[in-house]
Amino acid sequence: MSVIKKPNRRDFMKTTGAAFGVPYVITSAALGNSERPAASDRIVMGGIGIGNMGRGDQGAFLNRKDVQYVALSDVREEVRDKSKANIDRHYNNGDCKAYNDFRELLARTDIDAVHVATPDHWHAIMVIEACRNGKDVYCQKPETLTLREGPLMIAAARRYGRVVSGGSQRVLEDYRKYVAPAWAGEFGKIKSINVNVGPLPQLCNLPGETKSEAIDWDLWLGPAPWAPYNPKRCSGSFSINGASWRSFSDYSGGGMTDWGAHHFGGATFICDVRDQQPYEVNYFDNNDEKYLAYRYQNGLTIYHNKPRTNQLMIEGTPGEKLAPKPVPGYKGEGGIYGDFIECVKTREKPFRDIESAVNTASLAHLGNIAYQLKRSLKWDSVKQEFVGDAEANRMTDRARREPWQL
Amino acid sequence: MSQRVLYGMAAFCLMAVVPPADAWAAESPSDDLVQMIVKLIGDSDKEFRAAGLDKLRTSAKGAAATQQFTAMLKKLDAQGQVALLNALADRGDASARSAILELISSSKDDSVRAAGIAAIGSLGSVSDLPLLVKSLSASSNAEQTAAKQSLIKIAGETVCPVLASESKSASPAVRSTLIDVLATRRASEEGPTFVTAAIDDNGQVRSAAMNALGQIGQPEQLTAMLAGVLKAAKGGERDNAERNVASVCARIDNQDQRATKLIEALNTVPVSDRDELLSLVGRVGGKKLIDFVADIAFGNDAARRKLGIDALSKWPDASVADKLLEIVNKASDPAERNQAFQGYIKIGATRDNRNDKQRLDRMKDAMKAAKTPEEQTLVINRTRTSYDVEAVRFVLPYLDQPQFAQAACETIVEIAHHREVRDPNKAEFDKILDKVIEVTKDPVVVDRAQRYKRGETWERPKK
Amino acid sequence: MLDTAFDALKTFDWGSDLTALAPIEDAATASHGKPEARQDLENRLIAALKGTLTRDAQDYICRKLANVGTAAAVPALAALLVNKGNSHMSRFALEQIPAPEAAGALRDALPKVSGDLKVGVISSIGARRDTAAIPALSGLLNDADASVARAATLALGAIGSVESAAALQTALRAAGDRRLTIIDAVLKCAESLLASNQIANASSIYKAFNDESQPRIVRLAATRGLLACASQPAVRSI
Repeated sequence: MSVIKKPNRRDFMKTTGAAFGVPYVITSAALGNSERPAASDRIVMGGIGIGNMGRGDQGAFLNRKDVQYVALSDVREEVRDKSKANIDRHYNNGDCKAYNDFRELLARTDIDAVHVATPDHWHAIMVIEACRNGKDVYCQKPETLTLREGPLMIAAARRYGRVVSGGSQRVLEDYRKYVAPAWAGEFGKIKSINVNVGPLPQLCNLPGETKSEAIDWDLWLGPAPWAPYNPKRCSGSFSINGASWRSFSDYSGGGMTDWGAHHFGGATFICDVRDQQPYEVNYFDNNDEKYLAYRYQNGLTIYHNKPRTNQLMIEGTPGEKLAPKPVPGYKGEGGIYGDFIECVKTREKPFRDIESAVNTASLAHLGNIAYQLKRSLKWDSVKQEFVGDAEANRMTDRARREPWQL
Repeated sequence: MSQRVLYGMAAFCLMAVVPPADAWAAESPSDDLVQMIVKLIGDSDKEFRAAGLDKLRTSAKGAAATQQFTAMLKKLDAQGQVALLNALADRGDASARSAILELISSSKDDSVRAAGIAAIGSLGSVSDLPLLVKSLSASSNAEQTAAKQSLIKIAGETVCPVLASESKSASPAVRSTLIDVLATRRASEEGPTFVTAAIDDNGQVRSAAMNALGQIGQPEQLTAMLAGVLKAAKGGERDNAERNVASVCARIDNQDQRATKLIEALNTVPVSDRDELLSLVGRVGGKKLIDFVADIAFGNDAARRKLGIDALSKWPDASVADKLLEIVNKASDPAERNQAFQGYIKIGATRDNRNDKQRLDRMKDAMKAAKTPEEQTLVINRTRTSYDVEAVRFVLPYLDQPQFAQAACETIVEIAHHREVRDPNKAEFDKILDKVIEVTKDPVVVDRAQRYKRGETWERPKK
Repeated sequence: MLDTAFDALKTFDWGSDLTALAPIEDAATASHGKPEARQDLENRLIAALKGTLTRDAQDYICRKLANVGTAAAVPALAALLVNKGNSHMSRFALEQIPAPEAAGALRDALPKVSGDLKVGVISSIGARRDTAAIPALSGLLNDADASVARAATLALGAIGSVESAAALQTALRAAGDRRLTIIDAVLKCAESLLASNQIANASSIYKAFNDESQPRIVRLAATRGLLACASQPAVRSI
């Protein structure tokens, strides 16, 4: 019986380094001890966008013994300085590198994986570039800004065999009381579920203000249309009502995608359609009560803001109990972050694999377009285009500001 | 061969030598795919191996291919075996089962055995239950965890009855795990197993059973659950048992029906034991039970009064707030008064479906009733649950009173944290935050106040 | 109402009240399926775009023309492609207008712009998957401006045809530092070919890169591509 030798990380990096002509160097501070995996078994990580969510994500990865956090990137000087100081304090060294431009971080061959928590208008470019550079990626939700971006991100991940996880710990952790009976078959066949979430994104026309912070404004805007600096435009607060970038259509799908990533994600998990997209979105406008019905091939309808209907209200087939199915969950230890890291090690797909994350985000984008056009739409999920509606198809993507390109 | 030649060849192939699709297809029957996968499974680079395993999961269907894949199990190192076992589990072809069982019995590596046990959860049947149950007591945690997950996952109509039967003779540790498994499988038809276990002499078994009933129990089982509450040891186990009863009650949509079902169950409990269940009644709450508990809280028996006030303090909403305030104002015993005051603050400040003004009004009433600086400080502190500029105005005067100033500062920055409250009243907030900066000695509060003035946010440190 | 909104547009700037423009939004939605109303709206937008407006107002019009513009709007938009401050928002519209004139305007702009603006125009051509632009893009693959060469590479990858793949593979001979970017684009072409059931062509590309002389990540991608080819129903059924 021949036993194939398990390659270690140094072998792997030697190969990669040779290919790229860059030596792999690991610092003395990265050496293991009895409580930490050896450096060669640790995942070397960096982070891009260290604002509100990014700081939380960074903390989660930094505190893992199987991660060595070596670099960060942010367009805000104060964030960079504080974040670097935090990491260096954690490791008791000065090794962490802080970059203004994420491309410098992604070009480093010693980094295995990155987390991305920039505003949404950057996600696709960064995730695709990370995949091209052979990095695994944990990308905060909502993963996409437009419908076209999703398939390109999935393709890049699959092309290079990268582990790419979306964000939203809530999909698995917040809806257990619905997921457990649903997957146990207790609702019978689920005919419909309702998601209450919003608001829609708005155009941002805030006036220019004198910069009150050291920020690379051009790089913050990146592929988004040029606009003058305003602190609310680029605030990373969780407001979805005009006081942060989450509210504005150039950078986000509004509450529809921001919270929709959680609620639509939960609904599609409950109904076991995370791997699908709807074939139709029906738009209803009854006496100023506007709502949507997403139709799926398996007969499911996901309502959005159906009047007088509670969040995640499920309509099943009472009296019918279906065969139970095992409920998927996280791999490894440590919630959604542990799931990602475990998959980086095993090369399996994470719970919020980019494909299901994109499907969730696309649900929200389809809804935003239907509301904007005020009409029902048919959607070909294979071709990723609206059927017989050229006008709607114009809204599946938008030109990126030069020099940014997908 | 040089790079240049290779690239040139690539372009040439593309334009000139590429055979028509049909011809290529004929050279690449599905066996090619199987062979590619087999080769990749053995690759020493785990990313190449993963490429093969991805396809193994979803393509190259059929038992013949599965046999070729399982034949690789013996040729791999432990890490490769684990990866292949995981992929075979996802592939879902039960014909891999015998090879996996053989590996479980022969492998000396815990992680391999654990992965094999996990795969049996996907590919096995009722006949594998003895192995999985036995593995719950395996020496490694990995195998125990995998066995539990497999018992949750394994398919078969008779799985739950078999596990319920097994649980009767199992050790307490295994029995409690099997009860967990049955609950996760939502085996509501195994209710009698849970009911019996809820009053077992072993605390671990009792807790598992009460948790199971809390998840999938029906109102009809409330009587049995009350027995479980009474049997539970006071402290954490009793608290947990009460929560599980409350969970079952919460699944009864109608509040009156909820109370009715609980009262029916309570009536089956010997009168001498009912006072012990008052705390539980408080957790369940509901209009119909207010007077019942209030009568006890206002009664002549001091010991029962204490239980009654405790129950009111656990009410899930603010409907009992007036009762608690009445006790605060009338109680002659300082300890009783303090208990009621604490309960009133807790209930009054809870962020339920009342609006911010209603919560603030409760705090204002509490301040009127407060008799000591400690009580006043508590009121100032809890006013932070009212996200309203009025709440800031309410605590503002306390900035000038040294003994309350710090509490007031903290409450103000907590409310200022909410941009939707702060932004429409920016000028007023800026002025108040300036005063906070001047008064407080806490650098964190200063930092927060400055940030809010600048329109920034503040990240709460994780506990 | 619409007149008032267009009046408001004349002085519209950052900080102006967006609700003043709401009638334009409403007209864009309401004119769906009403050619005359739609044409009237487009004509108004084009006329406004030709006037003296702030950059913000011009941007707003471009956003609307992205939704409702036709060939008629192309000349006015094309005129902005060469302006540093307007080029992007002009592309915002031109990238989405399905008329061949829009594609033509982007191609025609190529020799007129340079640097970032050229990168932008190229990226919009790529997003439109304009096969007529393949010769022009191929000519830019070795451009002295590395960012232009990169943009052309990605655009040809986005187009994803046999012809664009061939152009890219030819460029590999002198690729130097850009080798991995070009390979990435070729691999994207292979994916497009596979998606359109041109399995043999896709497989040919993957086989060429499944070679020990290639960087590991390229071999990995090629391996995955070959597996994808071998998994196609047409192949499996043989």
